[in-house]
Parts: sequence; C-alpha cells; structure tokens
Amino acid sequence: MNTITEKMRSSEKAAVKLVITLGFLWASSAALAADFPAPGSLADGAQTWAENCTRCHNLRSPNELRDDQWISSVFHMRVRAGLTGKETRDVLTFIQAANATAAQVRTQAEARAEAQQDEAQEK
Amino acid sequence: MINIGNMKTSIVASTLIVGMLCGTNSIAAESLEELNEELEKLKERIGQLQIDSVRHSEAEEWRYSDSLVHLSGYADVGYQDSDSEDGSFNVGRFAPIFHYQYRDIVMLESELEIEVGDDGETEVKLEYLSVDVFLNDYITLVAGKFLSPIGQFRQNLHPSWINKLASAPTGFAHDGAAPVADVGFQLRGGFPLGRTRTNYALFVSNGPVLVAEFEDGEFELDGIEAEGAGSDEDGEKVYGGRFAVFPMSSLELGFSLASGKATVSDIHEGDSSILGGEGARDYDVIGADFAYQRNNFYLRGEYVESEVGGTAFGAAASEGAIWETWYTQASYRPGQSKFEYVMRYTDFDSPHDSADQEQWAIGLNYLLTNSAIFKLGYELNDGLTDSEADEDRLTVQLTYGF
Ligand code: HEC
Repeated sequence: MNTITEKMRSSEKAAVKLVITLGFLWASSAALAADFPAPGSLADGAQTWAENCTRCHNLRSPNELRDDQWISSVFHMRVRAGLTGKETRDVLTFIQAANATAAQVRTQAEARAEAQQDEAQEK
Repeated sequence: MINIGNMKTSIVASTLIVGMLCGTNSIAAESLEELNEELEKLKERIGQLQIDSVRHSEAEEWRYSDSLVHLSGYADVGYQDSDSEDGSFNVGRFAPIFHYQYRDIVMLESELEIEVGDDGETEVKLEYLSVDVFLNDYITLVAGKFLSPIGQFRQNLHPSWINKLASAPTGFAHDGAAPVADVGFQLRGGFPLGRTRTNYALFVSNGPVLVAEFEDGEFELDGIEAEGAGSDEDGEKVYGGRFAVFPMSSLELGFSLASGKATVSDIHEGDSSILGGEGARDYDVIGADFAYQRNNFYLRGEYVESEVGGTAFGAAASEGAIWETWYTQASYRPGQSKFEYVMRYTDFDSPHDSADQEQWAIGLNYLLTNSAIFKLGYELNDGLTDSEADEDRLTVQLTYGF
C-alpha cells in the first residue's frame, strides 16, 4: 500500500504542478495591456472623450495608436488639458476599448475578404 | 496583467482535479502500470509546458514593463511669398516629442525644435523639457522648462498640425506680447466645481530677459524675451497662472495673470558688456481667452498684455513699455468634408511703431488625415508704411503631426 500512496502523492504533486502551470499560461495569455492605470468607466470615458478631445485639435482616432502608446499620449493630454485622474482613466478605458473593437471589425472584414477570394477561386 | 477571474477558475479547477486524483486511492494494483505510464507522460508534458511558459513570459516582458517609451511630434514644410521678397521654399521645422513614463507616477516630456535657417544652418532648440509628477487626481507637478501657461495659443495651439494657419497671430510668436516659455515649476490640473469643469495652472519661474536698444541718443526697451531663460539675473521670481471654466461643455473661458521682476541683460545689436547695476523692473502680464465649439465650427480668441516698468538704475535705465495683442479666429469644416475654411483677425500694439500690425488672414486647408494637413493662406497686413509689418504674404504649408 505504501508504494501506492507514494505514487499517489507524486501524482497529486504532478497534477497540482500541471494545473498551476496551465493556470499561469491561461492567465498570462488573457492579458491585454499594461496593468496601469487602474481601469476607468467606459461610459464616462466616451463622454469625456467626445467633449474634450476635439477642443484644441482635430480628433485623433483611437485606431491611430496601440493601447500602450495611448497611455503616454493620454497622460500627455492630462497635463496639457488639465484632465483629472478619473477623466484620464475613463478616456483611456474608452479609447483602448474602441480601438480593440475597430481591430476586431478589421479582422472580420479581412476574414470575409479572404472567404470571398476563396469562393471566387473555387468558381 | 494577471487576470484574477481566470486565476480563480484555475484554482477551482486544480482543486477538482486534485480531489479526483485523491479519490482514486483504492485503485487496483493492475492499473498501476497504466497509471505509471500516464504519470510519465504527464511529467514530460509539464516539463515542456514549463519551458513554454518561460519562453512565453520572456516574450511578454517587454509588453508589460512598468515604463513606457513613446515618440510623437510634428513637422512642417512650406513656401512663402511676400510683397518685397521673392517666394522661397522653407523646411519649417521638425519637432520630435519624447515621452518616458513610469506607471501613472511620473512622466518626462520633451520637445526639440529643429529648424533650417535662411542660410541653410540647422538650429536646434529645446522647446520644453519637464518632469511631470502625478501627485494626485487633481494636481500634477511640472518641473523644468515648460510652454507658458498664459493663454491658449502657446501651450495648446502652436504646433503646425493644430494651428489652422501657417503663422502665429502677431504678438504670439517669439519676442512678442505673449510669453513663450518659462523655467521653474508649475502645479496644474483640473477639478469639478459642482457640475462645471475647470482647469488651472500655477507657476513660479525665472521670468523673462529684457532687451534694451540704443536709439536717438538714449536707451529704451526693445523687447521681452520670454523664452525660458536658464538663469535669473535679478534673483526675483515671476509668479503666475491661468484659471479656466466651462460654463457649458462647448465653451471655455480662461483668465491669466503673471507678476514679478525682470531685468535688462541684453542690448539689441549692441555691446551687452556695458550693462551694469541694472534695476529690476516690474513685469506684469494679463490675459483672457475663450474657445467655443459647435460640431465642426470653432470660434476662439485671446487677449494678452505684457507691461514692463521703468527704472532709474543701470546703464540701460529707461521708461517702461507695454506690448499688447489680441486675435479672434473662426474656422469651419462642413460635415465630413476634407476642406476647412479659416479666418483670423489680429491687432498687435508695441512700443515700436514699425512693429505694430493689424492683420486679416484667410486660409483654406485640405485634410489628408486629421493631422496631416495642406494649408493655403493669405495675410493682409497693415503696418507702418514701407515696413516689413505692412507687407502682405502668401503662405503654403504641409504639416504632419504624428
Ligand atoms: C488643451 C488642449 C488639448 C486638448 C483638450 C487635447 N489635446 Fe491632444 N494635443 C494638444 C497639443 C498642444 C498637442 C501637441 C503637443 C506638442 O506638440 O507639444 C496634442 C497632441 C496630441 C496627440 C499626438 C501625440 C502626443 O501625445 O503628442 C494625440 C494622439 C492627442 N493629442 C490626443 C488627444 C486626446 C485623446 C484628447 C482628449 C483626452 C486630447 N488630445 C485633448 C492639445 C490638446
């Protein structure tokens, strides 16, 4: 019985290790952006963005920059435009969500175009 | 970023699997062989996963670092033709902006301005360089050389992809009525007053350098060089700031003030070494600005007055002087059209008749993108007859903010 228990112990350990490793991989592959600043309110962000981001210059589309680049730009604007910390976090949350949506739309459009091409080739 | 939701799920999953395995203690001896085989496979798999995991986190580390590096800026090229001079192309400027940021704690922002002069020489200037510390949600400390927080033009509108005309309104460029930059520190930010948004900037700086001129047998003030002097001749600081409110979300009203001392430390086209014992003069700036926006229609304007007091002390002792300017600008872009129409009126008043100017400027802009713009402009200038300030100008500019 002893050997069996030992075997069980090591299989338990192995299983725990496996699950932890899988969990870690799963968690890290789900990461989307830097872990700062703290997430803000998407709805408030949309409003703050609409009311402020064309005050001084033409609108800079959320698609122009990557999420991490937007962090520096929006913090730059926080200083320039006198935004509060909350407004900064809200706008960033909105922009980072808006460009993700746009990227999705693009990927879908590309997939559709590819499918159409395939179809055309088949004919 | 570690996804907490997923972490929880994996903990639950691990508990389940471990539980299941523990519950198989009564397993029959003959299945031990199979179990052993399974285990060996598991071990192998785990080893591979561990290697993958290290590789994965190495690949991820540059994406999830605590500091960010970001490059932006703008550039412009153009063509100018005025009454007395032949038209010439110009390179305008290349102005890269560097951003380094450590989480949401501190940020360095710096802009260089690289220009090619009439003689082909390249000139490099440090437009601004500040370390910004985000003290809390409402206050940011900005220390170093910063664009003057007086009014709107210099801090918010001067980059060529933002300015809707190729030129700055008279008096808002270098050596005019409105200060350009300061060296010192500011506290700035915004806060809600009830449902009204506000923003503010308060600063302490070295203040400007004054330039004197020898004319008709006596000294007089030539100009204020408010470009961010790296030292303070008189040791007396300038204090100032701007406060703005939004009575409605489409209208901003701003008020600016600065006060302190400034001293003559340069002589225009003369030998500055003759200066000595120059008295510190009073230096006061007042300003007011407004900006209104409705869809793609913009109406904005601002007024600035800089006043320098007289002094009886020093080689360049003289009376005081006042520089004053204001402009109003309207611009409109119909719907989603690529064309934008601009009109600006400016009136600049200085102690020197030859510099005074009244200007009507009109512009037609074509937006290649929202920050890459082709600008065509014409300035109708009215100044002292036969002076440069009296010459009309055609300007063409291609600008790109990136
Ligand atoms: C108070 C005026 C003002 C407001 C309001 C403003 N900006 Fe800007 N923005 C500027 C100026 C000025 C620059 C150019 C900076 C320079 O050249 O030093 C700029 C530059 C930018 C750039 C170019 C990249 C960079 O960081 O320089 C982006 C992108 C941008 N702004 C986005 C935004 C967004 C998004 C908002 C809304 C949160 C916003 N701006 C609101 C004044 C403003």
